[in-house]
Amino acid sequence: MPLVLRAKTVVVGDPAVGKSALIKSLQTDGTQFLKSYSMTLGVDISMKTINLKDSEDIVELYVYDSAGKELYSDFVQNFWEHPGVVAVVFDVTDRQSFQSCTKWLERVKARKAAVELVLPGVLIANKVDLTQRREVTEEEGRSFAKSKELEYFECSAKEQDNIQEPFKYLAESFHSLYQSKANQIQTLVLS
Amino acid sequence: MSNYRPPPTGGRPPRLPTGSGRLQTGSFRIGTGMRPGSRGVGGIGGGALNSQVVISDRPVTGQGLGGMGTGVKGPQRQVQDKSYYLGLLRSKIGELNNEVMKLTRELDSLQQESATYMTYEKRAEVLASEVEDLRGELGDYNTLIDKLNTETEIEAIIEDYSALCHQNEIESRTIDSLFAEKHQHEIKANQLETEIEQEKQLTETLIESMDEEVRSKYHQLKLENAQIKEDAEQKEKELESLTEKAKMLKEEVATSDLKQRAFQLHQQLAEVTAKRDEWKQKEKETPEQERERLLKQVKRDNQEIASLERRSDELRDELDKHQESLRQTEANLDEAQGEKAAKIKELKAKEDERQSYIDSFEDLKKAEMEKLENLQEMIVGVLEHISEAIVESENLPSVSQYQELQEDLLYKQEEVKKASKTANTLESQNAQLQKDLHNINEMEDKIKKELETLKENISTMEQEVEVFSDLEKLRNDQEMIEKGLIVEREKLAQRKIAVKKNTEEVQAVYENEKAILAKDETYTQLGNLERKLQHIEQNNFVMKEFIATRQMEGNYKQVAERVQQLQKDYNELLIQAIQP
Repeated sequence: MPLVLRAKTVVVGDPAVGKSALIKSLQTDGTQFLKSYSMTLGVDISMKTINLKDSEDIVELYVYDSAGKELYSDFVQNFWEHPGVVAVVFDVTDRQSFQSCTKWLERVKARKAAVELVLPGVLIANKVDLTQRREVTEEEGRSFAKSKELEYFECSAKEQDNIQEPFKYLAESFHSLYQSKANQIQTLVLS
Repeated sequence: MSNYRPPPTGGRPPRLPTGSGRLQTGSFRIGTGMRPGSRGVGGIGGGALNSQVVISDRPVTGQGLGGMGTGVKGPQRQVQDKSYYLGLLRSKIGELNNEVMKLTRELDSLQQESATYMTYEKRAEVLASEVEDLRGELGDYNTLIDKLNTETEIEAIIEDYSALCHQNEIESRTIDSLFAEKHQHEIKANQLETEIEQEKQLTETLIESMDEEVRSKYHQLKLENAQIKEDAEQKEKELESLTEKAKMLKEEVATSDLKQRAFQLHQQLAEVTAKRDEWKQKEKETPEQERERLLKQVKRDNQEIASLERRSDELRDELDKHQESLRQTEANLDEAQGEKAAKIKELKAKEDERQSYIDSFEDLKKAEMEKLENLQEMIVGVLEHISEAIVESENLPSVSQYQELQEDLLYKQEEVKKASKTANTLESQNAQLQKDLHNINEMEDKIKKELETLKENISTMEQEVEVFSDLEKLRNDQEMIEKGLIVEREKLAQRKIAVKKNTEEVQAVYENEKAILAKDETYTQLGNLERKLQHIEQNNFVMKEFIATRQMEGNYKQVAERVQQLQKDYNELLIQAIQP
């Protein structure tokens, strides 16, 4: 029997960095793109099933698309209890959104259970198609992600470029984390 | 593997029974389909190696298709960017280089021409003289034709000829005598010159032998002489300029009647005043003085008259002489008319020719000798060659043999061509077969892997067979499981009822809450406000995007920087070009 793992995926980032667009593209496998902006109210929940590369197990990512507006920040954080994985999104054309990433990451980490030692996460640089307006370079993003122990990805929701990869990475790391935990428990039980 | 093709040899292993464990059959469809199907003959089994290679039988494959055509040319290049202008510049530079090369070539040819020009000039001179000769000859022929036309008899012509010959002789003799005379005169002139030299030397020695005083006086006098000469020259010049001026003035005067008259009157006046002055002087003289003066004048006049008479006599004599000579020349002219002069000219030209020939004789001789030597060497060389050839000819094959050999050669050439073709085809075949071999190797690996998995399957199946063979036990187990499951189902059913109730209760509570919330005014207001906010944010975002795109459109900084950079580069290039 293949296992089905469920991972609570919290997607955070400044307003209008393209979180909802990214998730929409992920959901529809790149067939749809939110052409006009529509502010997210509170949290939108959606589910994405991901087949793992090296295993028959399946990871279901429950994607919590949080509102980026500070107005909702208190309200939204209530939904983040025990996050499985986290995805911090920023806009490469907006340095402010990049600088806010630390803040968002801290907020999510504050919500995780004390027992959990690691929280797999990715840093997603969105809107890389706007090369002319780009303000945050790839090197900056990479070094920041490394310092925060996140995996760095560059994508463009508009161009459907590199959208699946960060979520696949999340699923895989969640799965490996689960397996290592299961092994631990098994060894404990057996001994 | 959607483009899967069954291989022609049937070497593909049959589809294996999968049994309960699903095999990954996709992996075992090996890449035989990758083999290009252009080859009609032969297959994997090495049939191509065994079959005899006949070149003509081998069809030309589609591999030799030419590349795709570029198709229709589009409109002219629309983006005239850097590369476009670079292209333009390159083409222009190429044209300029061509032009420069052309000019240098022209320059070279011109230089060569100028070098040859001198030689050509010399030759032209020679040719001109030749042309003159030929023209004379042509005149002769023309006179001959005239004679023929006028039907003068040959005897008359011969007579003429002999007469002319005679005359010619006489004239040549006279010329010779004149030449001798000229020579004598020249010798005389030389003698005179030497005499003059001697005289000069004599005077110099005289001067040197003079006393200090006399010599200094001589020098002084000499200097004075030179000065006076210079003075005279100057005066002459002045005179010339004055006469010119006078002429000019006269011309000026000539334009108007009144001025002319005034001029005449002036002249008269000047004459008259001169006369008056003279008269005045005379008046002053005493009668004796006057007589003396008159006597002197008479004497002078007498002398002058005598000299004039002498002169007139001389002139008369001369006139007579000249008349006589004129008569003589007239007589001569009657005899010889214009022909003589022409003949003299001709003879002179001949003489010139002769002279030039004598002058250039040495050079010509040398050149001829050289030519002769060269020719001799050449002859020796040719003779040697011929002797060698004679020796070789003994070893040469006969004509028929030669033909045979040529045919042989042709045949062999064709053979070589064929062989090269076959070599080519063999090479391509070799490559093909190598590819096939590679594919087969891969297939082998895959088959091995599959075999292993199949073996594992067999072992598991065998185990299962053992288990399944004990049907009784299996049945018991099955029943046990069924019973347990039934018990569980009943339990779950009961739980389900409970849960359902629970959910219903919760649902009711939820509905209730929802209703209450719906009634709440703040909630609806909040919802409305939220929607409004959403709308506003949307507008905000659109505006931001708009602003950003407009900013990008209006951002000329990059262009400006690039322009400045280009200008800078260009300036540097210019400076470099100007600096030597």
